[in-house]
Amino acid sequence: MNSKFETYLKSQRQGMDIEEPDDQLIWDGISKSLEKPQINRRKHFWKAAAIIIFMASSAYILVNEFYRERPQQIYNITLSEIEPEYAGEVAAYRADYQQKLEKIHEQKPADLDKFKYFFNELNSLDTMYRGYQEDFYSYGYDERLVKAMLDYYEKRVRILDRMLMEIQKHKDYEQRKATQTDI
Amino acid sequence: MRVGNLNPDIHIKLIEQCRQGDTRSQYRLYKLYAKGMYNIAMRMLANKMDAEDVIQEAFVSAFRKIGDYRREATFGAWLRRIVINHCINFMQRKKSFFESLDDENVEAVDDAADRQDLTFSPEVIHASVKMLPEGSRVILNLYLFEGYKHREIAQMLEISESTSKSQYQRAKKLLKEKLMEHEQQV
Repeated sequence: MNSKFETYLKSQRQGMDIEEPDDQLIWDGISKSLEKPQINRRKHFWKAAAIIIFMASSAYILVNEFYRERPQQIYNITLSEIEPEYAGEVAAYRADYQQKLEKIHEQKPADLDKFKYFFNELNSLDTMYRGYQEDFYSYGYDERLVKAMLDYYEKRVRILDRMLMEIQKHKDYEQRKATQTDI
Repeated sequence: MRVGNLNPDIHIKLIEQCRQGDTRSQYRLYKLYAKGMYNIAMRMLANKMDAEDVIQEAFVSAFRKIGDYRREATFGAWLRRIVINHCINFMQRKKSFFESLDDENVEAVDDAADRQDLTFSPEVIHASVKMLPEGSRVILNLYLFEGYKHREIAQMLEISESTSKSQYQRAKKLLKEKLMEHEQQV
């Protein structure tokens, strides 16, 4: 409970604002401060947060892209890029391979399943080649690696050669069988 | 005249114009409240230059935050809170302020003042308050003249509630002594 003294002091409160401020001085200071660009901490916080989010997202995207791109680069790099000296040889093998592949399609073997193992061999070769490419990125240039990659192109052509021979053999066999039946 | 008694419609319009950064309205609002706020700062800080600095800071802060004013309290009460916070921040930057708030036993308050007719003028009370020691002066102002509770003062000053109470008793005792001394001199 307030004493008489406290109650009296409170009642005098309204009359206690007796001192006059130096308005000119204070207002000059206020207006000068208000003219200065305000440092909005909340705005700065969001600005800083936006920058951090942008940087984090950029870093994430870059890292992501790097790891996503890297396998593609591994699988895309060719022997010609690694060793331009073999570019001509590789181009010749690839052209030969393409020609032989077209020949196989032209012959339209009736039962492709019989030649499935050739395709399996080709797939195994492709897997090995991707391994060579990975090795190149991991360990760098190695002559043995270059030879193995060149060998891949040659082997692919040899497999298609064997396949064409088999298809031919199969055709010949079918023809002989048809002739014998006619006789 | 107390600023809170002015026509509230004038304030609303002025506040809206201040929100839009109108300098003339800011000056008008400053003029309406400057004296009252300055006197609060003077009683709290008891130093002209410090009070001027704090009032300047407080008005700048108020004009910048005026968009946050939601009319839950009167503009005067909202502004007074800003001024008081600035005064407290100002004092808390000084080491002596914390030292002056050390808890201490205060003798039973002499009720002599309660037994006699009280005739102290507001000017004398104002001057006597300014002569009180810093810590107890702040607590007396907050509790007696600004209407804060000891629990609120304890939170604002980061002290215990009992310290706030004992410092208030001390301030009251000292103020009585000063007022009596003044009366005897007259």
